Amino acid sequence: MGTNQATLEHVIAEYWPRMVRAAAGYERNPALADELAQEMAFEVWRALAKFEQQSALNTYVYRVIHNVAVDHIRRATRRHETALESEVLDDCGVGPDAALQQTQQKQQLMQAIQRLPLSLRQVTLLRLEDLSDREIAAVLGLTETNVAVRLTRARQQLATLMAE
Amino acid sequence: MDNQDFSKLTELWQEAKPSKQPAPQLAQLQKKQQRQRWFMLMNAGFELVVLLFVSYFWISESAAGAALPELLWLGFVTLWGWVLFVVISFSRWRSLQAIKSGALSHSITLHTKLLQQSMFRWRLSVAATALFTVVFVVFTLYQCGSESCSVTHWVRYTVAFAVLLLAMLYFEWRARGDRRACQELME
Repeated sequence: MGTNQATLEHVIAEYWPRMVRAAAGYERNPALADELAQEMAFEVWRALAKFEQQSALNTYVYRVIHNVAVDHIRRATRRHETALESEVLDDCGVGPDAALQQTQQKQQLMQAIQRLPLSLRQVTLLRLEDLSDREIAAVLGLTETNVAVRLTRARQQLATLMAE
Repeated sequence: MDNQDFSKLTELWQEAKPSKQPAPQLAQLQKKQQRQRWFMLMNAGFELVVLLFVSYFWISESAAGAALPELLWLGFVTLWGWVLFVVISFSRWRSLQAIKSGALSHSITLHTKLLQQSMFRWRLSVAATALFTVVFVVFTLYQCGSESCSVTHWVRYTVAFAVLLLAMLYFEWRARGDRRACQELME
């Protein structure tokens, strides 16, 4: 891919909303989620300079994003003191009632995801971004069977958490 | 939850757009990273300079024929410092090798190992500080027993003792943080 600045910026811009969503899925505190998204963008930017088409770009970028998230969890020692309120994600031009309902659903989904164990949270966040089992396996270094098992467990837990 | 329900969640998830988030500030992040690297290097350099200074002091005091208790105390501090520095540096080196390997991108096991190394360093710091504190107390009691200590001396020793205890508490708090993160990664 090379280090063409315009290409790098284009890729970062394209993946930016996904980074923001991933960061919100991993970090409850909105301010720290902002920081995490910035860090993801930076690491993707650095990693792209070394990208040599050894895997699909999509897989490569997601691998970096989720690696930064795991690194964040490793380093964060005050995570359990963080608040659950997060208003990181916005609505998309719908009426007031519908918007309110949608916002509540999003909050519910976000909180349920944040309460999943890490191994299930990872596969869920990737599936919510429409990655296939094979792609998720490549991103996380797992087998497809393992991914399928985790996804089944994640769906069950997500349903329980969202029903609470 | 069936496939249809999950598809709805996927739509809901992907509808979300960043609102308050500023665009990535890559230049600022690059500077921050450089600062952190400098800080790490300076830290290691500072530790080495302090150790060299203490070692030099011990040697020069020995050459000047200082009293035996003082020489023993300085010898203990020098030996304690070097052993701790070598063991901690080795652990840091192992962590750096893991980071450099590039396998961090797909291995949670490696992240867990990094945390275990970090926990080892904090626990070692707790143990080393405890040992230092015990020897310090023994030395202080000996000093004040053999020759009378003024109030100023006592205040100084008490402050030093309190600082050592606080340092131990801080190291323990950091080790617990690492253990919590480790548990979360292994869930």
